[in-house]
Amino acid sequence: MFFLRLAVLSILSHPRRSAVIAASVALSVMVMVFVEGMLGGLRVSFFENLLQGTGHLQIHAAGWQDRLDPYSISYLLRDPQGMIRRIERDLTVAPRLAGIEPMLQFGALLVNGDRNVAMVGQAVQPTTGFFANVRKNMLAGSFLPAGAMPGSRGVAISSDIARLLGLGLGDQVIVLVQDSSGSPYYLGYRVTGIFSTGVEQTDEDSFFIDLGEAQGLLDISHSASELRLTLKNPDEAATVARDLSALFSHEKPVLQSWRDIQSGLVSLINLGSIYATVIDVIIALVAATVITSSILMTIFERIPTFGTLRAIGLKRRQLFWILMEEGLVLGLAGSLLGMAVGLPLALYLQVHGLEIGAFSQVLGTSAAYYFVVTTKSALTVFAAGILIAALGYLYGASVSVRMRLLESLEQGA
Amino acid sequence: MGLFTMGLRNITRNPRRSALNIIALGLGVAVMIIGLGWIRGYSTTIYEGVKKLETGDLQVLRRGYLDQERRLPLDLSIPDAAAVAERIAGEPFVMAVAPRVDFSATVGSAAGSVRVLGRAVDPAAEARVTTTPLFVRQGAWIPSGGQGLLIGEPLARKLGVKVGQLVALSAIDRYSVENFVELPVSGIFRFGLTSLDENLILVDLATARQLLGIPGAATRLVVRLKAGVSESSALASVSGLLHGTGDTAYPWRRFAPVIVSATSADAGGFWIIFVVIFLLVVIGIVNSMSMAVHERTREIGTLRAIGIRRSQLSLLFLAEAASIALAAAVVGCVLGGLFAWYMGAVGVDFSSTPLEMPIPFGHRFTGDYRLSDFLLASAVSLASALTGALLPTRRAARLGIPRALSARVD
Repeated sequence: MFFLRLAVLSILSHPRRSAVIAASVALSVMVMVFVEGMLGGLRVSFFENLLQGTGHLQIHAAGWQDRLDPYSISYLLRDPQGMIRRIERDLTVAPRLAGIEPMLQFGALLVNGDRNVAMVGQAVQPTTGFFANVRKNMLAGSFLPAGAMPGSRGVAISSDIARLLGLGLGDQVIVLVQDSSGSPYYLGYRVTGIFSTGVEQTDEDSFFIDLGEAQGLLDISHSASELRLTLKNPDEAATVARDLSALFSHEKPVLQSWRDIQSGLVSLINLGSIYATVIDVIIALVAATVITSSILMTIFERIPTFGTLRAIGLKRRQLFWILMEEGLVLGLAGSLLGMAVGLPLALYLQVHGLEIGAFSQVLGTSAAYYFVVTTKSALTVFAAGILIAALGYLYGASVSVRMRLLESLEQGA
Repeated sequence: MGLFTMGLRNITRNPRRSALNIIALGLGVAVMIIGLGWIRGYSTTIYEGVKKLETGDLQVLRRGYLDQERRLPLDLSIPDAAAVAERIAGEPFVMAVAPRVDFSATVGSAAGSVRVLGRAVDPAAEARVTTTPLFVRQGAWIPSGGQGLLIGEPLARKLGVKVGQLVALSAIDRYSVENFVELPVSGIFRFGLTSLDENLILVDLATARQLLGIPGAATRLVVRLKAGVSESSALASVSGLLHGTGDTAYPWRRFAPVIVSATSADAGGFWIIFVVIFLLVVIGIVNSMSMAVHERTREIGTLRAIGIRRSQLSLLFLAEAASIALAAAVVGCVLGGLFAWYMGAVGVDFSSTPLEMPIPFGHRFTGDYRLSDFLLASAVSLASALTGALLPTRRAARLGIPRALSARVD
């Protein structure tokens, strides 16, 4: 405690230099909080928005990867409910599963009068756990009315598509498809829901329809184009995929984990992490040179003082810890200052987002990009600020304790 | 010169402090050189690549088309496209104008059929405006005035078609009637972008107009400007030409929003890093120069006593700061130069990653490093060092001779 008081007194007796060290730490911490918030936003956007749409694992029929048309209904799982029952009974896979649903994706033309738009039909159960961003952003009507009678259920389309086709809630839209026999077929559906997520890929490319309705439209009985799974731990996707491959060894389905489905974005996140690390390292390096320079100045000024202290009995080890405690206190002060400025900014961007234009569409978000600051990232950055100051003092402290007593005293003479 | 030599010598008086300042400032110089060349590379490589392949320098579309673009509205096409194109092409700053029709289509073979984005082009005009013909890997570009269809390599493989074989092309025309035509595959292209290679087909304009029931029309005119012409002034001139016609001119950026926003965000990030780094450096220089003034108070008094003027004293300290900046500029330029050499020799090839950014990265990204980057970064280094030295220098110059001579330096 005595040495801590000495350290604090020493800091206060050189206010300008202490301010420089604290300011340098603060600036580095501010940048790191900002960068980590940005990276956190990228990860959350990916896991919450994108994976929410695609799931952690997808099971497709054998040969699916050879399909000509990405939305072809030539490769279907003929008994998806049977497969779900087998998976839920499997003692290796079931405990790791958070949810599993059959889904159908198909190409369709939505027609109203002389206007038409080619779209992807997303056929899901009304109680689907996926597409939460669509359900949360309904502008009119409801997603897919669960209680409606078969044959009277409708479709949910985005407000952009509704505008393009001149449709309103309750209007009829023709859904034209190529059914299982390859023949064109169409039915009229009521628009029962209008949404707007702000994400182009969802709003402009997809419409939503009840799975049973779509199976009837396409004349495919109870088939589905995929089973979509969410896992309790997304990192286990590869292991679960292997177990499912063994479970369905006869059917030989095609299994895709989220890493396969979103390989481009996984690359983007990895690149983003590298970019963030490089920025953090460069800023920390520059800050460290400024800090070390200031620390050396304060230490060399006080060499005669250290010599006197050593002459009256202070051990090298104790001198070392006085200086390190100085570093820790300044690092703490700098980190607190940096967090006091950087954290509110990052939290503001967490709530209000940062407009980054069309690039946000690649990330599956609307035009605003939302930062995410977690307790873990904030604490890591806080600790990094203290570490930068501590490392700077480490060099200075080791130089000063290595000096011989007589040499230190002579400098003051 | 004598003052500068003294300043240069003074930085060796405390080598550790000077070294740390030089490292910090040198890192700043290196980062700035790397950043400037990288950002300019966006413009010269990426933007030019996008313009040459896809967007041209500006485009003319029917008013209201872009609002409805998602449904590829044939009812919002430019009715007499040839006349409009001729008027625009007559402007002295225009190199060429190419009409296009974008439409949704299905292309099929014995293996099956798939929905694609159809792009109808005037072969001769398109070749003058874009580099698309250069990406034909098998067969040939559509002959001028002739009929033909070009298909992407992966799509050709899936459909099981080769050059010369027939494919069926069907589309819903202007009157909501589905028409179809059989065309020979005249060429197979590869842009290196999956989204284009698997989903785009190119067909001659005459065939598409007949298929879609839009004689003489185009959904857009793509304009290529002559070298050195200002985009904004060209846009204003073309807009003036189109006034009252129902057609509107748009800048190329309107058609590459993802790339523009991604590179802008990246460039913004670089500038923020520059500012933070040089702020840290200025703080460091202020601090170390203050220390230098404090240590040499009696020396300052002596110099003043023997006749050195305040202005000469100021110059001495500024020369010291400038010497640090010069040394840092050398260090930074060497580091930045190594990076620039690496980028020129090896570069970054994003085509090997699964990242699907909507521009062709078939070639490497090399940045665009120029001598001016090194000079600018060195100048900024000098400015930062001098800025940091200003306050301590003023303090040194203001010291009274008796006070300076009697000062105790602890």
